[in-house]
Amino acid sequence: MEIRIDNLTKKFGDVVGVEDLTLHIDDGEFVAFLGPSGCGKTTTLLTLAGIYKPTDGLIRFGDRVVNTVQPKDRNIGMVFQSYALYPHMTIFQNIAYPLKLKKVPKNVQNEQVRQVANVMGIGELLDRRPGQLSGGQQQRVALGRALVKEPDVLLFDEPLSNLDARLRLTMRGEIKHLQKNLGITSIYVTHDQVEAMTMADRIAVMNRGHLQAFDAPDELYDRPKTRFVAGFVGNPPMNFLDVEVSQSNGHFLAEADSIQLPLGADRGAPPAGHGGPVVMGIRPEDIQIVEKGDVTGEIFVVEPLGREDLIDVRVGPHGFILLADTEKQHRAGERVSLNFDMTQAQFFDPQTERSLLWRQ
Amino acid sequence: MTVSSDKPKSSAALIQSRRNALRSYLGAYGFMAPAGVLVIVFFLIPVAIVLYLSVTNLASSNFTSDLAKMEFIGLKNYRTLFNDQFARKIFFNTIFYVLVTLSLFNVSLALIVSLLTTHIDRRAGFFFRALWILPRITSPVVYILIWKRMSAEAPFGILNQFNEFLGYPTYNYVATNPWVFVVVVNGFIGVSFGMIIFTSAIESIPKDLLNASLVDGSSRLQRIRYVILPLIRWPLLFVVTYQTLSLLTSFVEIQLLTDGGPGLYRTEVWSLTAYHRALSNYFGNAQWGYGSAFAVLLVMIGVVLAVIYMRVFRFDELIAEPRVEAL
Amino acid sequence: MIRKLSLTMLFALLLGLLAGFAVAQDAVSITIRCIASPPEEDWRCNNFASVEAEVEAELGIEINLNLIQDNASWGDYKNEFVLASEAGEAPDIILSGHEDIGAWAPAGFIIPLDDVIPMHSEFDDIVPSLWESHGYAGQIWGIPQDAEARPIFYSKLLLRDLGWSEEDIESLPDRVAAGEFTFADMLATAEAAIDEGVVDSGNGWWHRPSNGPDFLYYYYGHGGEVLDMEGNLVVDRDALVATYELLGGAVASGVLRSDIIGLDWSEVWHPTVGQAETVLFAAGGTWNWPNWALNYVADRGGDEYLFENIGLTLIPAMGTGKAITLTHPLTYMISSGSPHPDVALSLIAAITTPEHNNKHAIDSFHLGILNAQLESEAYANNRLLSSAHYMLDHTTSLPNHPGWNAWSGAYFLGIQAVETGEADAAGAADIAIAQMQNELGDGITVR
Ligand SMILES: Nc1ncnc2c1ncn2[C@@H]1O[C@H](COP(=O)(O)OP(=O)(O)OP(=O)(O)O)[C@@H](O)[C@H]1O
Ligand SMILES: [Mg+2]
Repeated sequence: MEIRIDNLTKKFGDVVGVEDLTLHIDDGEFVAFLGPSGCGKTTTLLTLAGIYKPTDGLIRFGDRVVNTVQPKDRNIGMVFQSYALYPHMTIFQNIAYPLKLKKVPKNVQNEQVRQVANVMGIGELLDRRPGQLSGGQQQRVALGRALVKEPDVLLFDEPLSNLDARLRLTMRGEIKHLQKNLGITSIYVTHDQVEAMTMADRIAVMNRGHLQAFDAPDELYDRPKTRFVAGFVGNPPMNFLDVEVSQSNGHFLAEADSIQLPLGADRGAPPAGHGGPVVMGIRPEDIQIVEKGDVTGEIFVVEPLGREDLIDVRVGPHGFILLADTEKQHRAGERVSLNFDMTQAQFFDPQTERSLLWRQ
Repeated sequence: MTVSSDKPKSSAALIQSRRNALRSYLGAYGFMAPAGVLVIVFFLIPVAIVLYLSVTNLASSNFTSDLAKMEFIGLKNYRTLFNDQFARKIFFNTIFYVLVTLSLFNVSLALIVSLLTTHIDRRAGFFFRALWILPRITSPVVYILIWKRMSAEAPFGILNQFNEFLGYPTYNYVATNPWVFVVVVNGFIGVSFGMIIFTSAIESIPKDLLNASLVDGSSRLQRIRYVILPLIRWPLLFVVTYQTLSLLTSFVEIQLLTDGGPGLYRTEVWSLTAYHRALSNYFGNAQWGYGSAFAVLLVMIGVVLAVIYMRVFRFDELIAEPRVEAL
Repeated sequence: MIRKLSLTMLFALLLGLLAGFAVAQDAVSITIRCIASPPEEDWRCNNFASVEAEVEAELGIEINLNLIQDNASWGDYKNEFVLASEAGEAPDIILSGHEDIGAWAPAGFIIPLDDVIPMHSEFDDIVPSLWESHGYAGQIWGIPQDAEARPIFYSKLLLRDLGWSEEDIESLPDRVAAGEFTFADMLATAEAAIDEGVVDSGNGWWHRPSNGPDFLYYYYGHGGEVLDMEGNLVVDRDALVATYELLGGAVASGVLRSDIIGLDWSEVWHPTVGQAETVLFAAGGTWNWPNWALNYVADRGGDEYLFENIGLTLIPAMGTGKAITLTHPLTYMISSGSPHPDVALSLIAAITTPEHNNKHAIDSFHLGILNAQLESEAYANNRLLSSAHYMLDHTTSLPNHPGWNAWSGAYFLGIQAVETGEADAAGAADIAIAQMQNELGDGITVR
């Protein structure tokens, strides 16, 4: 099922939930909504589900405008962060509920529920109540309930955020796998970008009710079109630095106080052409500690992450986050020399915060 | 697991385990103590006193507050009561009144009002609920006066003024439809209690659960039927039980409206009879002992109904502990 | 010098203390509780304040009067006295309905007064019929405070419409009192009025719409008794049946409406009767009059309108051939817990004078209790009171008996049955008697 959202606005009185959102989702596509808390992800999802009526704009499922269609007539499956299992029903009744509402015959219900339960690995739990299940089991039940009606669209609202890290990893794979197998158009709300990056075909990044970007994960990562996207996608987040980029006989140079970073024409020409100060972005993995590099600074903090250390280096008034091998055993106070991989540098207009490298 | 597979315990271990069991019992009773004290002070002791009074002939004319000085007359009051030629009629009146008022108003209308007002704009909902509280907070005398002014016969009553204006016949409404008025008048008072409890219960249902039901394919009515009602079963039981008891004991409005009439106890209920026969001292000499016999039966009816309700609502299921996670 | 001064001061202080002590010892505290609706009935308590000095002088003591006036419901008021008596905190004097003697005398909450009444000449002048309602077990237990009459109000307006001459109308009370115009005549008149379209069916005669003392006069009027010579409860079946026949018959003939019981006093009964335009005869009480004048016909001239259009008469003769009425006096009773019953009685005696009782009678439209009041100018000048005072000579009252509540409840039940047509007169009597026997057991004799 293809979903087309055009200029969707949803307001609650004066509060903007989402504004002027345009998004076209292909049939069978897995799209993640990514954005900080309160940016309008759930609002968009519930509007798609028909719980909220759009204030403005159009939503189409296929060719059908569904703005005023009741939720029950949209054939949607939804999985909630809280699982939203009915506490008074057994697991069987929970999963069978959508079928019962569709007036599916009892024996067919029975068969389908068992089938879905087996796929989800909860076949043993059908007689229990939700209160007697662990979080992971409940999550599977919720998923089973969403799938049992063979929906045209699957909506996920942060389905994994209440699970522990390991379980999250497993479920991630399972959901992705199921979705690809069944080919159901899916929208997956999360503010965990790893989840979004690993699962989604495309990611819609939202901020304060507005769509910031809608692109494939590596596009977002490698070619962020706004400073917000650049900063939001990637962990640890991108370093930003106010610089001036100048050109002198074919050589480009980004400068900030004592820092001077030479760069190639493909990255240097647009910011130099822009004139005046610009914002440079560089990801932690693109800065290396070397014997002799472009810049020297002092280690301020070392945060061990296990496989790597996260290191905060101060260069004059500026700070950079970067990653280093644990075995190097860097210590706070140590003076280090840094090398910047300027072929990965990003540049943004400080006023509009748009990328100077990638146009929309 | 069978008993025989248990290894016999050493006596010391046995004592130890008994001691633990005892300790956990005491702990449980400790937690129940405050509620227990309330039940004892506000229910059991009064019931015991009333029970005692009901086997005495205490009246204004031999009044004493010294339990020992009261004259014991055995079951005479109960005999009088059961021999009363109208006891059966009044008993069934009472059951009729309680069940009809309860089911139509104190529960159903309360439920409908709270469902409607939680499904519309919040402020409008609040306003409508506030309206329904008015009958409760108005003094019975004023409240009944309003009804009388509405229903009085031509040319005084407002309803009849409409009838006259439209050319319809006029009625002495309360006299011709006493039960309708008794039930409606009391029902309007009873709505607010259930309404408040149901509303807060409905509003405390997680939004996700309500949304989930719609997405799963329910209409709003089906959502009420399959999700909301089952989830507010406990408040429902509470309201049904509590309101049954309060309806059983309320009589002031009936007294003011029909005084149990017209005719031979058409709308007389148990508590009002207790008042008429025993506790009113309009003509002097209240019969405390005889009145207590009425009260004892009222308590018994209340307890029986409460037990029936608990069966119907499967109370044991409501308080069942979750079974221990096996996986 | 200083020593001398301080000694004098000490002496003065001692003297002062002694003086205070002496006064305190002579002062007698008397607490009096009255039930009264202000302002018109305030004299029930306030009269005591006006005679305080007089009684102090007479007895040579200091009295500390503590007057507590309630406008509570009767039930609460009476219960409070019962509970206070039991707790030993009863007031010295309690004002209540005379029928409470029936409960409070056997309970020992009040004292008999036979021996002390002769000591106060003020009581000699009390209308003799009033004493009847103050007896229990052969003794007198209270002093009448006020009285009223419960007459039949007749609409002069409607009688004129029916073609009665002014003379017929004005002479009606006398003809009733003489037994010439009987209850049967009254019903016949009402029927004629209905036939001629002067009043609607059901509006020939109205009685009160709720239980109350009035109903007993129908039973008395048919020769019924509630107490026998020994003061035991009795019921006369014949009188009972005759009463129910009268009431049921009035409904059957269309004179009385079947739904009269249950009508609202203030919404329907008073406005209808008070305006004199709808109902021909109505059984009410003298105190209705000022209420109507003030609340229902004030715009038409109040009192003047009522005198023009409404008259009052005794209840016409029924089976006994004698016209009657019923009075329900309020009574000052003296608590058995009072340490100074003599002082209390002296206070009551002091206000039992035409001068003091007139204040209450006139302000509140109650009948006087003393014969001398008729001779006093203030009372005689009051048209209503002077025209109703004679009724005291024909009056009856409720019995004082612990079982009266049960008796009257059963009696009223029969009335409800017969008026709604749920039983005929004999059936209603059976119901009432069964009810009395069940609740009173051996305490009632059926005759
Ligand atoms: N029913 C509602 N009434 C009023 N305001 C709402 C309502 N639902 C959401 N909002 C507001 O709309 C904005 C977007 O909320 P939304 O729930 O869509 O955020 P979200 O992106 O899902 O956040 P989170 O990641 O915390 O779940 C927020 O400012 C929120 O306060
Ligand atoms: Mg959300």
